[in-house]
Amino acid sequence: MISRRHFMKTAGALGALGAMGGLEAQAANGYQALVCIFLAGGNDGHNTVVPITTSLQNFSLYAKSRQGLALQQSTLLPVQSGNDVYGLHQQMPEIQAMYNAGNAAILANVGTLIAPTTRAQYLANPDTNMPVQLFNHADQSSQWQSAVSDGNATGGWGGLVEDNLASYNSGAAFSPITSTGGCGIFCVGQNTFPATIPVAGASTLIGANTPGRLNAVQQLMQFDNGLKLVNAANAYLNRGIGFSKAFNAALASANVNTPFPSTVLGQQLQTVAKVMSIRNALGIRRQIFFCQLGGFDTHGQQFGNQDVLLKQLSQAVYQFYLATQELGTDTSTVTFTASEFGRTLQPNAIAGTDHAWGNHHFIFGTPAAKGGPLKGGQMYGTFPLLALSGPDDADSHGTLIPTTAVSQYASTLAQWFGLPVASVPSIFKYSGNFATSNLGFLA
Amino acid sequence: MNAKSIAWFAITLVLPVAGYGSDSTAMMSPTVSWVQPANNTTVGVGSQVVLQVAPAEPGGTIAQVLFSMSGRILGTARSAPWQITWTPTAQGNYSIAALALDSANQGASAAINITVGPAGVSTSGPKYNLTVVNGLGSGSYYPGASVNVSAVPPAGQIFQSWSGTSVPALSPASFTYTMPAGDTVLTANCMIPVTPTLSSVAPLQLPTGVFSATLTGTGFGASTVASLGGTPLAVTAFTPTTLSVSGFSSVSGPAKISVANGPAVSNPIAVQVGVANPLVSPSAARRFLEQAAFGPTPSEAAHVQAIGFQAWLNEQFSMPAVTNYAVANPAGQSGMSAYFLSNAVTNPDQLRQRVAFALSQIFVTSLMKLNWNAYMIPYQQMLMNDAFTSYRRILGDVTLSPAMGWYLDMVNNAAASPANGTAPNENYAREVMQLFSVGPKMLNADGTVQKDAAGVAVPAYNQSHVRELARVLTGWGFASKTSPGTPAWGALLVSASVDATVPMSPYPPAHDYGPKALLGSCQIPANLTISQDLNTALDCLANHPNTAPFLSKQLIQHLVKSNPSPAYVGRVAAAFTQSGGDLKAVVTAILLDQEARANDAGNADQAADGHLQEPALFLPGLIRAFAGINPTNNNFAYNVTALGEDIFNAASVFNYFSPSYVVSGTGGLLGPEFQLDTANAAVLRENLVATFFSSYSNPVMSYGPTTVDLSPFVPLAATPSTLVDALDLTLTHGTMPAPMKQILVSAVAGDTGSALHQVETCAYLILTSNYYNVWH
Repeated sequence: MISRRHFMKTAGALGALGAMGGLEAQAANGYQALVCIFLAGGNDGHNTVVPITTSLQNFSLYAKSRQGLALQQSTLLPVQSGNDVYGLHQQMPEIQAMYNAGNAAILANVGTLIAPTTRAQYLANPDTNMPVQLFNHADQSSQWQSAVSDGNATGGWGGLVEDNLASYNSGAAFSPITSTGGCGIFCVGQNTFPATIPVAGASTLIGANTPGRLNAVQQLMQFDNGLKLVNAANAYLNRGIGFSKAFNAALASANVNTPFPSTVLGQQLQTVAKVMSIRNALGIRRQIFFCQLGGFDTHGQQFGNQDVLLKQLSQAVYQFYLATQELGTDTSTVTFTASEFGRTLQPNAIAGTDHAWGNHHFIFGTPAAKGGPLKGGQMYGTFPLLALSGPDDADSHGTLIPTTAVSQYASTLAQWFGLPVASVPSIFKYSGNFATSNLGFLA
Repeated sequence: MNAKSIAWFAITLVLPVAGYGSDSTAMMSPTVSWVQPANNTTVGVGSQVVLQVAPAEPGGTIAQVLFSMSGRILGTARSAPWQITWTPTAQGNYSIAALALDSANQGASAAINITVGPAGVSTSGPKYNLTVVNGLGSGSYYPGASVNVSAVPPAGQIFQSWSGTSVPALSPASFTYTMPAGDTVLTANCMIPVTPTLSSVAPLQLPTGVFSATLTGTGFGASTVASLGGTPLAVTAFTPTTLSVSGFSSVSGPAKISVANGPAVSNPIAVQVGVANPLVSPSAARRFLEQAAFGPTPSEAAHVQAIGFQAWLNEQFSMPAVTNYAVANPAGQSGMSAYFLSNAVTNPDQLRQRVAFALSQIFVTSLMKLNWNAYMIPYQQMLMNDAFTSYRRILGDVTLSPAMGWYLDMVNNAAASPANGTAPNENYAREVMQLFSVGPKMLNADGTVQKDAAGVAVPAYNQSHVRELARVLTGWGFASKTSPGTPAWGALLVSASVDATVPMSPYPPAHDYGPKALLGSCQIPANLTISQDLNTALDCLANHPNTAPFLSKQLIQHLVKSNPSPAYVGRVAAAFTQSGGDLKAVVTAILLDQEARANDAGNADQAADGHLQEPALFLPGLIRAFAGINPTNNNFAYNVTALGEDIFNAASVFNYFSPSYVVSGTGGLLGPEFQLDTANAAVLRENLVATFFSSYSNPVMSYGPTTVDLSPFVPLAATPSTLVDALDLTLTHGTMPAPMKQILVSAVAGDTGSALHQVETCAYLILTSNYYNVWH
């Protein structure tokens, strides 16, 4: 486990390390990486980023709506955006330090939308031009991962963007998308399939240890008896064998010294760092990673459950950033959080919250001042009014309507990653409905 | 037996991979040859033997050489002079293999034979003469050397027995003789064949498939051959008056067994192969048990053949629950999955277990949140006991179970409190509709989704319905242990005051007694009792037109196929509705439907057929097929978790996998179990089979305490096509297509290892094929 004292020492050194990393990135051959950390279950953004004194509202409005589930103001970790002061959950000191150093940005109140939506519109017509199956885990996860909200997604935006940028990865013997934890539709494109690398590493086929067996395995894998599910299973096995060969051959040269916490997310990000360290051997120049941390569906006893998870997120993200500095990929890697929805402002009878809509998220990377792409240390989007039945509420429980769409969030990341502007509408179908497809937090 | 053993080890493969560039066929590969000792050297037990090879790779680098013997690594050399020192500890003939690996993990191997004799057997000193009469092997040998001797009978005669110094009793015609310290004569006693007689065969009723039998009579010897209907059987042991035989027959009906010494043939004895007057074929019986049980065992398949599908279902419906989770360690947090896998192999209440497991994947709770077996055991036992009752009964028992109350937060839920600014918790209200009853979208009677004019699916309920139902689900607490009949209001599941073995208890002060407007125009009037409120709401869900098709389709997916036709779903949903949700009627409709039975003969594959065996079915299935043993202390809990299915410990209420998971590249086919089958998991599944089937000297495969005995198959390896047929009936219900069989026959014929090794090769290839893994 990383001690607080350790991070305090290194937090001050972030700036110096960032500069060194920038020079190395310039020497690199055009590599870029996106790392998605999916907070499964629906993280409660209301207790993650809290207004203290802002031009729109103060802490008192939050406390009034949140009642027994409000955090104590004295425990919050202050961060500032312009003249507005917000507080982060007390278990996120690493993220606070990163934000204050410009290594993190906040995107407020983002969620699934087809077009800009007001309370009046939603109450009048909740089924017209609205995402389908709002408040449903499976559908909203799929919509966050595909940026398509009509129930007809054919692929995830990660996979489709990689399809578009396939020329950067031509000749790679490995998937450009690595998942360390249960990637859903996000990782799948038309021609892109993820490599799922469990923390223990990719498995190598044993047992086919004579030429005769090996040959027979291959023949059986290609035998088509007419069943599509059999053929699909054969394709999975074929990919698995191919991926493990390429991966294990390259892994011999993997060396990541940065320590990681032995938590679920820490171990996943360590695996990401290891795979990133062998990117040249794998032949990948545009690489996407997907990690998942579960447990955020805090319907009850939110205090105690969410804290532990936010602490895990904060520590793991920070160590991962240090690892990118070690690897020289700190100015070419952008990490971002996502989650299927936010939660109700109003608490429920068992000290928890229920499914809602808009949520706050973080983007991490190296700031522009240090040679990186992130315009950090500020908040993007429009922070909602935390009033039950207020103008941003879809009902009376504090189910806040997003003011920025997933489509805009994702297309901003994708454009930095290399997706041409002309290709944006084909993947991000609703980009024409919003004021901008690039929110501007990445240069 | 001079078996050549093949060492097994992890290597990476060179296989062309679509989509990510192809492996260069011009890749370097190493070569290796032996330097010392010479092939067929004899050494003494306990002596130090230098094993040295010369590996080479022009333009490449050798990284290491692995020396192994019969599957065990002896040592590794990582640099020239590429040698290790080996001290053998047991006498015998050994094949020593050296595998040279280059820096890209390409390998080449070479093997030599070494004979290990008694301690002190040297390669210098006096030799003695061995004279073999009527056979091969004569020569001069050191004492302790192992000599291959074999009988060569004179024309017109057959081999009967060996005589001479220190000859083991009943040695076969070819065997390995240990040279004593002195000149020796071995005589192969031969005789003009005596006509044998056959007096009995036991059993007289041979099962279809692989069988063993004992023959008694007279005149048996080492060359006696037995045959069934003209097909030779394998003799596994003999005395002058008994023969142990094994064989394979897929053809049911009367047949004759006879024995012969050369041209002299005995009287025949009539036997019955398979079930007399079978109601269904061997293939149909086995395929049915893939759907209605955890796969067939040979005896269960014979039973289904004898009594037919409906009678077997009746037996299962009337069998009380045998499977009992009360024996799993209640005080622990793990161990249930090992019990599950043991019960699935062993217990006769197969259909009940399959249905209960399917229900547990619809009405999901998880140790992830329950934490302790003590809370999960009563829940799974309830599903087991309720498996053949009604849907409505199950819905009620699930809703009031402490496990579900805790898992989805219905326990201690309370009416809205303006004073506290709280609203009722919505979790169970949402999930009981979304997952346990109506599903998120309006359905037609055949399970297809209703769409509006714009082609968008019509939702089955909205946020208001969720909130109204949440109001119904208020005022339920855990039953109090200390004051039975009352709730321990506000207590947590782990509290000592809670009785987690009985349903939750009503607590009126926390209930919302107002009127509620639920989905489907169900109106609940004000001031019903808490129980009336709940029961009215659950009746509303059970009677909603969605529920029959929503549940029916998922049960079909768990038992039969991932992509049932809408007509099939409609027929089962009709049985659901007409029977009032009686699970016996629903399960019968699922299993006896024409669509479930269409492919019993294997000649009616449809492109969209089948479902991938989830790990919890795959493991018990392959053990049952061989009539294997899987005790409750088995080691498979780790494996099922690594394969993505930590039984009873799903990551969320959405189960291990989603019923609506679409398989990439199939044009939109559903494949729920594919959600677990990442590319890496596919490799892990293959590796599990390889590890399990890796005993090349002992025909009993073992994995911890789990065993599978391949002995009956070993004699069949002499005829590869017979072996393949036998494993086809055993594993793929006898309907494997001819081109696939041909691949297997070639692989078996080309396997230069022992007969046992050939059997394992064939079993490995079938068990790792997706033709096997996708039940269809």
